[in-house]
Amino acid sequence: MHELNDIIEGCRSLNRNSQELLYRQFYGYAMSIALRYAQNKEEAIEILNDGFLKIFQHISEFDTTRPFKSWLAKIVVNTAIDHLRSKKRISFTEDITQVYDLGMDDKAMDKLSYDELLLLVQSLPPAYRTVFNLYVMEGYQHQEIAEQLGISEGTSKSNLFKAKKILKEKIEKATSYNTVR
Amino acid sequence: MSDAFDKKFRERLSEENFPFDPDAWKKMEKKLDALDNDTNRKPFWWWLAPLVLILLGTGAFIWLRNSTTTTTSPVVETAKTTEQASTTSPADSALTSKEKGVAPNDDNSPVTPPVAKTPSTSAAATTGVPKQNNNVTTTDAPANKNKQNNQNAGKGFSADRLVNKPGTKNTSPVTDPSQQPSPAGITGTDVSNTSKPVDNTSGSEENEVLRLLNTHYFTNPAVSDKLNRSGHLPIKEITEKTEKKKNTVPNRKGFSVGLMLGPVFNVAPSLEYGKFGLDGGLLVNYNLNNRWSFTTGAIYSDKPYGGTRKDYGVVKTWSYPMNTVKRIDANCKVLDVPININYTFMDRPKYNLTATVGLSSYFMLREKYTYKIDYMPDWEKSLSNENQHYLSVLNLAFTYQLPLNSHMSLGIQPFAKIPLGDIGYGQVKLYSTGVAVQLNFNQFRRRQ
Repeated sequence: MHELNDIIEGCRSLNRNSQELLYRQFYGYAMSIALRYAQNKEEAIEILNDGFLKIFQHISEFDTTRPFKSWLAKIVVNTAIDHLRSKKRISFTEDITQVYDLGMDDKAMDKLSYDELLLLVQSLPPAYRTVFNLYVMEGYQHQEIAEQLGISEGTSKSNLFKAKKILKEKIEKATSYNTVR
Repeated sequence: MSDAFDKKFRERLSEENFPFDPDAWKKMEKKLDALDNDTNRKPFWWWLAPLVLILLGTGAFIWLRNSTTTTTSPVVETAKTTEQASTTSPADSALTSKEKGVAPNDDNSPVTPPVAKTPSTSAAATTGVPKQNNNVTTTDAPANKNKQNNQNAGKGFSADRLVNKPGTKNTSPVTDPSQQPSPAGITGTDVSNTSKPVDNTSGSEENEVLRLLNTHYFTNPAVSDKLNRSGHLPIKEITEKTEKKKNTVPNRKGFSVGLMLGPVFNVAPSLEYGKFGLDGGLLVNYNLNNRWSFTTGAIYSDKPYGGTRKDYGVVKTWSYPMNTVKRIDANCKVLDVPININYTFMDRPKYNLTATVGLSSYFMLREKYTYKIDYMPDWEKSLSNENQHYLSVLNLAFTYQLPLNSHMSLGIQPFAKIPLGDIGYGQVKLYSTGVAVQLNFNQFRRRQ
């Protein structure tokens, strides 16, 4: 952490070397977030870089007593959503589909690799994908998601539900295919 | 359970094993470079902004205080129509019979055809009918100069005709207005500052009068053209026009060129050994409108000055014995290229006041320094064209400008030049202050 604080200090002084160090250190983490929201790697890099730009711009405001990773994650997620919005990839329609317990079992997932799981998420329609990411990955509650995306809680819940439903089907399909072979 | 699923998903998808992509960093660097370019410019303007605001603030304050004395556009008095009605109805018939092609004034009874009173006739008419005088004021508007001349000639033909025409009992072409029983000739129409008739009824009356006038002046195309074009009676306007012409402020837009010359006092921060020099040169001005303009140019500046050891930053780089220098005299020939923004905060026909802020670039054409060191002969150093200081001097000035004629004006400009960095080989924070006399040539047109 001491080292990280030095790097952050350097970034505050607009030291390019420090900025590069910070970038390299958190590239992987930021990338994993960005990829969840993006359609492909290029888009993910765009989101990642825009996120880092905001970080470098506002690094002076960062409270070093707090965990840097969560601050970074928050910024990258926000950048991703802004990005998707600006590209008009996501549009939310009010949805109050009744949600029910899908009875999803997690064992099937073990058979899939990271890349396969990521692909599954990326294959989701952007609106569902976003809500899924925010809830499952980022740990937001529906109320927070609703606020962030400008939708109702009901829509957030139903989008999540639909996302999971699709994922469940796809996982089952993928794993059954695997077992068959 | 969904929770287990969620948890597992989160764990699995958080495994990060992304190899660093140098291309991604390259793209990042480009974004950072673009950002740096933007932020580097900021400090500059942060500096100027408060200064500009202060200048504008004082200017606006002075302007607001004086705004009540600004010349207002011409106003024609409201017709006290009810008062007129009773006295002028008989006149209508006279009017109708006298004037050809005049439609019967149906609405004449409640409202008198408004006629702007001329100054020459107003006095005479006033005596006749005291009641109506309250409403009478002078009016202005662009009008035919012929009419004006006629009226200036006293009770000329046209003047009386104008006065007599609408709503007057007297049918003779030339009459002494004082004999008018009706005060109709005295009333005017209220024309708001926007030159629109305020009262609908008086507007129609006006049109009536205009038509009347037109029929009489149809042989005079200039006059009838004016009548046709103006939406309201141009009568009163005539007298005022020539007076107003001198009182209008020119429409300033476009380029102008100027020469400037003036003594300048140049001094280093220690304020000892300041000396007088001379600035002279050419200025090019561009006016966006009457308030805002830009100036640039080239000024040859003869700058002698002196300073103590502390004033000269370069001394820090010297070693013994040079660094024991007590005093350094300088004589520099500088090309000063200013880029200034000007705001005219007081704009009067006879003068205007402008506040100026801007930046100058100093091109040190020749520098000559004489070092006075104890127990040693004076040591000299000369340089040519070795130092250029781009936008390194802040210009602040006030200009008092007098128009000499329609295309020339004289300006008196006290100014101050504040260095934002070190100037010249000597690295001196050189301050200059002085008064410049300017002669400006322009192509501005006077407002009509």
